[in-house]
Amino acid sequence: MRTAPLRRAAGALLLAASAASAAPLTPPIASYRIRCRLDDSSKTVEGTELLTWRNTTSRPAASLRFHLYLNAFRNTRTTFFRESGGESRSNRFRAGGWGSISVSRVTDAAGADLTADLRYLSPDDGNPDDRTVAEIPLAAPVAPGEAIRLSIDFVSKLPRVYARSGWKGDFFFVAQWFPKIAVLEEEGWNCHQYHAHSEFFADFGDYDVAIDVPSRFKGKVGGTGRLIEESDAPGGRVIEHFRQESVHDFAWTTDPEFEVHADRFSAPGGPSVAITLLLQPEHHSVRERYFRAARTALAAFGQRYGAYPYDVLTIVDPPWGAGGAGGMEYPTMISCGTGLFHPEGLLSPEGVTIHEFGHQYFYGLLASNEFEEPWLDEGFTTYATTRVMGEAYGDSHPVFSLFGFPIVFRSIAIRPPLDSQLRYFDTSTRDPLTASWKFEDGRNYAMVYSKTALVLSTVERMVGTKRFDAAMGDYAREFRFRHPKTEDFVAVLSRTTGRDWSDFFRRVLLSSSSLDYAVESATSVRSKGPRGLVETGGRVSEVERGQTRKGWDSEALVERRGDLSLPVEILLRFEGGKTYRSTWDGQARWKRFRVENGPRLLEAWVDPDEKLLLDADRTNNGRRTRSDAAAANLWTARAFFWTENLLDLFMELW
Amino acid sequence: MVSAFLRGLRISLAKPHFAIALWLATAALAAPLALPISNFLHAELNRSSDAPALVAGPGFRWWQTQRRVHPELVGNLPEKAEQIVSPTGVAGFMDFDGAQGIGAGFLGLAMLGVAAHAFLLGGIFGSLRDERGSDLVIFAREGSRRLPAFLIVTIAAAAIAVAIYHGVWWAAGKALEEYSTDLPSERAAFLLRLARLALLLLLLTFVKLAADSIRVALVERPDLPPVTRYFVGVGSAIGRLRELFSLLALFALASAALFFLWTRLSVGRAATTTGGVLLLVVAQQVFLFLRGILKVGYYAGVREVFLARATVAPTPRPPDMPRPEEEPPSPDRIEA
Repeated sequence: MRTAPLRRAAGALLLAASAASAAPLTPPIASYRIRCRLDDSSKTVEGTELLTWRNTTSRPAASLRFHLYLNAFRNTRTTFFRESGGESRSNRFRAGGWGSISVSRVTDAAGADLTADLRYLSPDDGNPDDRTVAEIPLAAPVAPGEAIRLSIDFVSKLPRVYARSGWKGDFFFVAQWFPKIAVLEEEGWNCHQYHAHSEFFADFGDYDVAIDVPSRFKGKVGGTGRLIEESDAPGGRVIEHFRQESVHDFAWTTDPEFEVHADRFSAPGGPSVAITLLLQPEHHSVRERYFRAARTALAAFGQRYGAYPYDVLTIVDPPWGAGGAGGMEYPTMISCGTGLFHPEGLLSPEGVTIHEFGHQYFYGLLASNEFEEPWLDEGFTTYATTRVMGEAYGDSHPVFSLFGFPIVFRSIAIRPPLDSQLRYFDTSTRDPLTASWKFEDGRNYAMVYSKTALVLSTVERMVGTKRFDAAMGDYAREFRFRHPKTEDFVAVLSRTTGRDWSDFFRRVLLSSSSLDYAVESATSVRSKGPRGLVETGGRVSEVERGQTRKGWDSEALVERRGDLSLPVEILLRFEGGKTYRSTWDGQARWKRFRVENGPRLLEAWVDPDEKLLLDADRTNNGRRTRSDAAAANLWTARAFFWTENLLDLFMELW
Repeated sequence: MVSAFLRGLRISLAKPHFAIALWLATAALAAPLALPISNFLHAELNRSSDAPALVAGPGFRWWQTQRRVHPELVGNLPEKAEQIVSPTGVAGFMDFDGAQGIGAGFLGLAMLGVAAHAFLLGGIFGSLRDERGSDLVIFAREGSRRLPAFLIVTIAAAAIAVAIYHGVWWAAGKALEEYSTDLPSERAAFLLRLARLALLLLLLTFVKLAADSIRVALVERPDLPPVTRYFVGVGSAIGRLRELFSLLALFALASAALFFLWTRLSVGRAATTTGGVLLLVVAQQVFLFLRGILKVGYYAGVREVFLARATVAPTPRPPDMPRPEEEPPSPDRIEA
């Protein structure tokens, strides 16, 4: 245990006024000065944090609540483990790779030792074996507007990486690693346990973190914010000192194998951004692809949602076997990932780099509660990523894995946004969008990404790209450095478009209803005059045979097959290039469109412009009046041919 | 071993009814699926406004939607088929228990195809040995006659191949999973996977070559006791491994070249009318016939390799035409 010297060093840090401090972009609520030491053999980080926390509510706080998230990896009885079964994002827990965090001492500014009063809580599920949330009663309540300072000694044992945080060999990805204060709201502490399908929620503050690592890691440490100092320390060690204002988390990484590459990005209205890429040597060939993706993202997101306000961005490329650390976002630092044989058409690492950078906005700057409204982060980022990827790289393509070697089918296009989010329809009616830990399983949780992206694309098509971009831009700028909720977005959208969207989002985004419009039938027959008693020129005569007329009687029957009803456009296309457009409110189960003695109807479409992207089955959205077997014949021939080939191959194998 | 392959091809071209028989068998096996596939596609596409786009290109979304909306159509067959050649692999046939409809039908026909193939190979090898020339009657007779023995070989080879796949790819993959992720680089893991793949392919290749050699030995060494012929076949595969392997490689290369040519020609692009589709179907069947020619060429080549170093080649004696034996006059039957 080295807590005494660590505490002294942290105290010195607390007292030292740093010339490298930048002005905060937002008033800090939870700020940290952390002094820590990595023991690379025991895979532990031992540290002392000096927390300054301000009560911004109108009620006094008699206790503080903390996240101790590494305890999620403590044993098989934690809530995270029970929910995940030891598997997270396609990575599995490895025996012997347990992780934990223990608080060894808590003192307030007056020197009162609060350690003995620390107790664990399980506010979400009451699991007595979960230690990811702790409460510390205070000697005296923190009054509204007042601040408190606590010194906390802790020891974090890092898990073998499979769920974001941990180590593999000499690679360390250190996230959710220190006692982190929860968010106090007017209603009380908003402090959730660490769940399998959830991310995080925290207040903004300033971070000053000095990391003591063995000297073989020198120059190979990346973290949130700017590296302000790198100094040698006794015992063959080095201290890497980072600082960042106005962020709500701090993560860091190190690997002696990292190749360190640098680039710079500048755009009007924002700071010049130093981009650092910590790359695995075997991925050297994709270096420029990483940078291009990062520059593309910085430019596109900055243009739409306001300039990236920080002057650093660190991109981490995890090593082989540490994929669990990849694809994650932390303030000013993102972890991505790629493979040895990833051709350009695979768009890896491009896709993950742009997506994780997108989180710098819909997580980093707009710090929504990812436990309770995860779509505001993952969903919005997915929507924005799809837009940026489509504009910068065009269509993507399916990938076939042949014994692990990717083969890209360039002849088949996956067109965003709908084609790239088809997985939503696999689980569309299984769960409404809800708090992240309340989904039935990980497949359903994936809706947070896909459904939100499709709903936002639908709104974009309904109101027009320009107006929707303006609304998204207003939302992103207005709620920067805040904790926006769904109603905040809806309010901005309603204000910008002049229409109330609250009912739409309640029914479409937050429900589990399905949407499916279909053209049940479309016919067009030669028009005939009336039969029976027909009045012509004041005289009534009996007509047995209706006279064949020049025009056609056409009919299209449109159905609503899903639970959800939305106004939808109908298009009837006639011979001679004539069209008829109408909007159906979609309230009834069906609607019939009739045209008498008109031009011949060729086809009927429901939602012809593909606006309602949640339509579960678009293959029934258009129907022709005349049968044409060309496509069916062609694909029958192809299917028969490939069936023959596969059978032939199967037969000759043995 | 180019010469053996070319000799085999010459034989194949000289006796095209072998390739025709292979092609007909494949077409007949695939035919039961043609109707449900055709009915489904016509029902979904004939009046669909998506149809023109599907004539122009593959239509990723349309197929994905159909697979989701009609899970009864193929079941999990596409996923499992893809999984066979994935880094994780499948444990065995049990993994295909989710196949449905056309997918399950395909699996059933594939099993039937294994039996049909045993018959066809019996016909080919038996006819090649028959000195009186070869016609369809001899082909059918030889196929029927050799079916039980060939079926045993085919089933045994399939079982061994599945066991090898299960062990070398699936089980070893699972056992090495943690070791593989612990390796310091993806390059090292890749080399490990490559080594497993090479071992898998080598073993499967040997099983295939051994099975083919056994078939030749069963036909060409009637002088030996039945069980001995199996050992001779295996011994022949081991003794002629280099020649046989080269022959198989040439066959695989020629088949791959044919497939490459097919994809380059893009015959389907012109099939936008009924006439175009008919031409496409004809071209497809010609392609399969050419595949049959190559395949017969390979099997004839295997026989050539075997005979080139065979020690005994007794005269054939077809069992349905036993040589008439002269009965010596018996004293008690001599009439005065």
